[in-house]
Amino acid sequence: MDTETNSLAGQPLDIAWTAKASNFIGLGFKIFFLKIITLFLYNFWGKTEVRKKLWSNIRINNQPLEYTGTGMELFLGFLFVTFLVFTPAVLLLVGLQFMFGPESMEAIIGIAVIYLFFLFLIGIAIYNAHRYRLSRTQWRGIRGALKGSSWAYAWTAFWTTLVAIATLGLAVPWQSIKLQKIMTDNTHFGEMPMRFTGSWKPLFKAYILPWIAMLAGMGLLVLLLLPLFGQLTSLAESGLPDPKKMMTIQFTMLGYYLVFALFMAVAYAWYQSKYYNYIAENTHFSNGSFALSTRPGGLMWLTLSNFLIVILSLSILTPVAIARVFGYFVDNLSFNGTVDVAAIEQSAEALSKTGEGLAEGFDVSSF
Amino acid sequence: MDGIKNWSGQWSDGQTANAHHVEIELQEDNLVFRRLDQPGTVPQLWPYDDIRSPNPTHSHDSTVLLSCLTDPKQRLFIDEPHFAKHILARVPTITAGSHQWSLLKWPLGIAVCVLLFWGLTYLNIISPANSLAQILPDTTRVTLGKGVVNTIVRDKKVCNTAQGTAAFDKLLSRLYNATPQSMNFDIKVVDFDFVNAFAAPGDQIIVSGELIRQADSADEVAGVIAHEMGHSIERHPESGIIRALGLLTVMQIFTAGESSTFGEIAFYLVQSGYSRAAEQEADDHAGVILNKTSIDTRPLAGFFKRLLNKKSVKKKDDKTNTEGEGSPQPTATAPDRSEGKDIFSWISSHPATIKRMEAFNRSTKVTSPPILNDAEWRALKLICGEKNKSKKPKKPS
Repeated sequence: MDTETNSLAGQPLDIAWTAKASNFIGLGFKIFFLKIITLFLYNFWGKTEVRKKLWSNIRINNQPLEYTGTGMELFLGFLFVTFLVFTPAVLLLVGLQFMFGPESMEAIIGIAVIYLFFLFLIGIAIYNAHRYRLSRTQWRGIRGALKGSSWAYAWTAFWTTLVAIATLGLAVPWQSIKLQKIMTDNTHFGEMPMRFTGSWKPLFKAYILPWIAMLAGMGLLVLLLLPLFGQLTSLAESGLPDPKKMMTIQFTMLGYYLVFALFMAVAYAWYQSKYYNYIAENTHFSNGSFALSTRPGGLMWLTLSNFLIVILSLSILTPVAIARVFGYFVDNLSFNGTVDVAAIEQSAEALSKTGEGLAEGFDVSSF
Repeated sequence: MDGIKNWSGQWSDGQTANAHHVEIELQEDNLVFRRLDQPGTVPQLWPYDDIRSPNPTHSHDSTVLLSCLTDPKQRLFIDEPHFAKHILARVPTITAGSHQWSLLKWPLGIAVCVLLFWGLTYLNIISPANSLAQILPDTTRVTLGKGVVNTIVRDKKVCNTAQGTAAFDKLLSRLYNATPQSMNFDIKVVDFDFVNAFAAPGDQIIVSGELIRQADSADEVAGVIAHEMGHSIERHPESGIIRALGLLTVMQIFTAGESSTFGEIAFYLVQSGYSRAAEQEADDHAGVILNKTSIDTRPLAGFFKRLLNKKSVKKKDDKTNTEGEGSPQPTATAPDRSEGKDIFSWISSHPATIKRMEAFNRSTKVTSPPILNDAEWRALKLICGEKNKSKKPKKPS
């Protein structure tokens, strides 16, 4: 028979990436040119163009994913955020300083409250951006959906961030898993949900060493930098600082910092790789679950080389860097088990009219 | 059917993620497909005009994904090497060019509109900031102005001595006679040690103590204040702020929020001096006010000239200082930027002002005595106390 519905157990999923990163070089230059002739407004439409190409190169059982979002949606989302969130916030910030004076207690408290509120809004932005992208992702005409409340996610993100700060970052794996569970459990393809079964404990073992290394590295960095700061201050106060001496000290400080950053990248790449693979293997869909096989070395090389590509091309080749990330993850992603595709019904979720907006986007329904 | 090739594909109905094998035929006006799993069902017709593709289709593509406007959820997926070439010949809306145009038309259209708007504003054919400033309620203008004044004045004292203030009030009341009744001026002398005067929203004007110390006569001070009154009458401070906010918003939109909002506002407020046209308007008002109240405009022109000379001499000094000490000293007329003291810097338009003031002099005859007598002028000069003796103005030769 020709239909794929026959097998009760469903069918296996073959996930493949069909592009080369070099296919995105021309796109990068074209978008750069179009940005210039449209006074950089093409930014939103360019983002859409890149996504369309990325999505269409992810094949599931040979059939491509589709990105159905539009540049106009992103632009409207951005205008919405600019005029209804950021402009009032800026006016409030300026207004507070005008009314009470820039150094008054009222202004300082007001500003602190606004900043805390914005920290909270980041959670909403992340969730709604994810919601938007999923709702604009289709396979065989069936779209994805993120259900649940962005406010609930934002609240969890907010208080767990405070816990993470209070524990000097020790609670990060616990926080990540908590947020991932909300995100995955609310993710649907059509009306079929995904399920997340991970816990923070196995990750914690992988995290503890890099965390200790980070604390030790930070302590060492402070010990190394403090005397240099002292020297710099006394030089500056001496009235006639020797520019050569100042430069030497500043370069030494920068050197220490770079070594620290590199050290951290290495220490965390190990954890990051473990984290991504763990998230994938604990994400279940229909009769199977995902498997991801990233490696610390691969991730480190990807980050470093992408950093160089973006910097050296003055960000013109950012689409190439993004395509490399997609390629790396999709190439290493597989699905164990089967999916009953005939049981996946079209999503009943309503579509928002605007895109992600500025920071990642707040959709109208959130307010 | 002779000569017509059939293609195989997969069709999804948009209700479930299931895919059904179909046989496709490209007829004259329609794409027609039949389900192979249910041979008895009626073939479906997709008119070429209604066919779309989610992604641009190229003739070399080995796979093609199609949708149809009549039921946009349905999908037809064809994995055959030459199908792309054949469908492209019939459906022009799925080409890369067509996709590109649909992406480009909006940003290009908006950019053209923005450029037109900017051009009209630049040529002064429309002035949206000014129009908005005219309809701003008085309470808002005053609140805004107080904010600006507080931000700039900070902990500097407002100068006030019994005799000095009386002299200042006398000077102001003469100027008020020539200004519109609707204006509600609030003019203060603040103990700044640089020469400056600025108009803030809500008809508020600040004159620096140093400006009064550097002036040679009350008529010079009156001239400066009359110029600032001109800015207030035209609501230049209000439109300046509205313009800054507008510019900032436009910049935010075009850079997709990649610039820091608050810093930008400060940047625009500091950087936005008045335009040449605005300075001319203020000069016109100053000329009218001074003429109406029979105050000689020549001292104002002379005052500008003196400041100009001083600035250029000081600049030369600064160059020498820079080489010697490594840090330039702020001049009287070009205050220290790092402290933001030159907000609404005033002297920048003086060359034009000198010419205009001299033109007024040529056209009018001033017969009335100076605005303040000697004793009153001395009291006004001491309104902020007598400090910085080195900066005392030279006696006119």
